[in-house]
Amino acid sequence: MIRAVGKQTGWAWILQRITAIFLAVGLMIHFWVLHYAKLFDPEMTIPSESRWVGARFFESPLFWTVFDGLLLTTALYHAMNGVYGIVQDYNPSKKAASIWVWSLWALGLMLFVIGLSLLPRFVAFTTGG
Amino acid sequence: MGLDYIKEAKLNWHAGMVSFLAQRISGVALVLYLVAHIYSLSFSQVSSEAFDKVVKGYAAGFFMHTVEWLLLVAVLFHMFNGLRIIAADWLGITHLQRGMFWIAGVLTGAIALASVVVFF
Repeated sequence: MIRAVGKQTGWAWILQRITAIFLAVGLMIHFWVLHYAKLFDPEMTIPSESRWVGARFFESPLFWTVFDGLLLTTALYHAMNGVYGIVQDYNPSKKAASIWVWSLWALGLMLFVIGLSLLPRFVAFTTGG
Repeated sequence: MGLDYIKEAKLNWHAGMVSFLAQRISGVALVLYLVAHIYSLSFSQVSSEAFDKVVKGYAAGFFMHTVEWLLLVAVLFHMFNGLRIIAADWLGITHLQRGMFWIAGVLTGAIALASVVVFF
């Protein structure tokens, strides 16, 4: 139970836990504004619609850009590192392990760039763009 | 190659094994969802109308509501069980891990049930 993510190096292991704690708090906020917020606003039937996302970003663009950016970064790190933890449980050869590492980094970075490029769009939602 | 989870689980059937299997299954499900999540958000690059069409598609019908709710359950379990593992380790309370596993389960169940009104 102590090293649930497998035979990783110290840094990967500690970062998995730091991102876990950030995600626990961050996802609660994420779910609140995108799902539970409608409980307190009868007009807000679907809180993830562009007008509500846009209104949120219009009110505090810096906060939500940084917050969503951090959520994206930590979620992708936690996800890719988690998958690598599973891979390591199967005792891969050195070559197989390095193929996994490079593939997961490539996938993670690609999703990071795509995700990050969307954040300015959410700000633009307020202007009807 | 590899591990035979079913055989292992049968041989070592206890809270730790249930925790391990459920953490792994929910983790893999959430990784797959994360990829789909970023893909569907990318419709915001097309237009706010295209984005809303996708969003409304997710928020319609019993099937999609169930999928969203199951994702919530996966997140809640993975979160509470993960925090239990970190707490057991960093606070030196491994001897309480079994009790904490049930607490994680109860918290997951309670919040998931209470959230039915939000997701359906």
